[in-house]
Amino acid sequence: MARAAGAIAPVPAAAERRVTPARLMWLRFAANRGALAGAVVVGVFVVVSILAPWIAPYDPLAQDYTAAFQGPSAAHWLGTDSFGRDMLSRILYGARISFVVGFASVGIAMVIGVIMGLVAGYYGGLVDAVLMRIVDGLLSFTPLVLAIAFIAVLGLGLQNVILALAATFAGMFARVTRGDVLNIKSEPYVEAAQLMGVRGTDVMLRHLLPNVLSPIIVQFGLNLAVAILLESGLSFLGLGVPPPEPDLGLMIAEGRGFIVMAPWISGFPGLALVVIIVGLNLFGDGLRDALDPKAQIQ
Amino acid sequence: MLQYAVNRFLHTVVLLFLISVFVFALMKLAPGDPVTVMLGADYNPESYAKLRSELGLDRSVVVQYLIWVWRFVQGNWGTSYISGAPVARLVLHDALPVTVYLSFWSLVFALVIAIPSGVVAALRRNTWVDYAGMGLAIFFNSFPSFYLGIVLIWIFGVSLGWFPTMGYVSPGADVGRSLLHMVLPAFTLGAWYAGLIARITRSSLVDVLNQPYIKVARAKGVEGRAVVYKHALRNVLIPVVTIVGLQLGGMLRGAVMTETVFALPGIGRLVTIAVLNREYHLVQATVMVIAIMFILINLMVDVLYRFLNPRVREA
Repeated sequence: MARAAGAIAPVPAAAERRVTPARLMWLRFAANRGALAGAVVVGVFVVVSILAPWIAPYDPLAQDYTAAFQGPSAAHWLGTDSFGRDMLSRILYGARISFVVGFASVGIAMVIGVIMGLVAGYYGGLVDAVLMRIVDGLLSFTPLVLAIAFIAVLGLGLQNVILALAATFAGMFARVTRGDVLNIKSEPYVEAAQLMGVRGTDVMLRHLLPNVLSPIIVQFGLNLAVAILLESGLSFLGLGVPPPEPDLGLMIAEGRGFIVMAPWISGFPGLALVVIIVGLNLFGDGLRDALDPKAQIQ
Repeated sequence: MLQYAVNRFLHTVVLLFLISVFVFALMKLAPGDPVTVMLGADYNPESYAKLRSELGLDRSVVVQYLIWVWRFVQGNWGTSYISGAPVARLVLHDALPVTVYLSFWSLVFALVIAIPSGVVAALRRNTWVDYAGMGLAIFFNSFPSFYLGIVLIWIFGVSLGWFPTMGYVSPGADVGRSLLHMVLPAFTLGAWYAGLIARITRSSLVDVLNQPYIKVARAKGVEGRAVVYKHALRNVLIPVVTIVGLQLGGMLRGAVMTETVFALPGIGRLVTIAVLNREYHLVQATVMVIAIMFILINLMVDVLYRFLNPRVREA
């Protein structure tokens, strides 16, 4: 950390105020304008989607055939779809589904993957070999195809999409965690704990985990965008969240047939998705640069 | 080098084994009884027992796996319930060439756009050209391919009417029309890739231009452009080739989406329809083929990388 602190030029106050690692990370993150903009955009979307039940002007599922195919107007800011449902309300609820799937699937993947990585890295030997071959197998599929294969078995629906994506991402967390555990396993403090008779689980959770946390958080940030993209993609293909749910990918698919007469039906949900993904990518890149300077792509 | 080749080969064999076990296990867990589905209206207890033993489903799981692998290696992948055609023909003869054709043009398009943009951005770094180019690259990198496809259909297909928006024409049937049908899909699939390659090209070139040997070349009086083209660009190609290769598998993800948007009968469209129709052995075969392609591409990239980069070769 001492060397990293030297790399940050604009912190002259460091001598007076104690520079904690957390503060250092925040300074590095805040210095990155793109990352900050991404965080703001994502933050706004998260808040708005949480507040959707209160701020959405209409029920996202309420159909009104007299109001179908209306362009943007004062009554319907973003227009209505083929069933007369209000697009703005559907997009607010759609962002909610995206974030729920994103956080839930990457969260589950993180818990499973980190446990696998800790156990494999700490115990080594046969356990390591078996667990890591499973991970190799998982990671040798391209994520969308793996998710499709899981959906084929599990069936459609929100829950199954979350599980399929969690299975898809778990391998990456396992590999990252294991690699770092191997690096610090032979540090004196870990060996000291072992010699003092600390149980394996305690060594893993209290000594190893806190020291491998940064790359795990980075992985979490980067995978959120991928998860949301995959989820909307699955729904677009008809393999994700079934209608009439207000899912962004599903809305884009539903508007395809009306692209000439009502381009807003696909257009606005797609735009919302692009803004969320760009925001998350900027945020994730900033998180990576702040927490894990070594891991920058070139 | 030989030692490395042997290790890499063994690793690939292990991966293929893992994938086959995984795909087999997944489809074993799939709901529904394939025998009942296959028999359909011909169902009776005798025909059920007969077909079950013919398919080897009354044997142990290990034997079933071995039978399945043996059949897969022989290309005996069963027939589609819905079209009645052999699965091997549907996957390898009908769908795979479409996906390869689409991926090829997308790659060409991405490289032609991305490498020059990356070079220009690196040479004019921290100017508006750089910011605009890289902003565009991040934008395309974040644009879901299915949405980009729809936007392109709307603008260039429907509004301007320049390009066809749907369907596939084999290059064997009509080269011109075939290419015309590929323009929008190749752009859709290639855009994400182009964004990635442009960013890598830029950052690698910036790195290389700061190297001492470039300064030496400049100090010796080599003209500005010549430094870039003769000294720098060659070294930039190593990371670019690596990323191009590593992400070639990622292209398959985009291909699934792009094929659906443009109604191209490729392997991505096939696997989607197979899942929707619950044709599990078709899903099984398609997923296996995609996974095998992914592994072989990675193997090829690895070998090519060693060939291009002598430092790694000798290590």
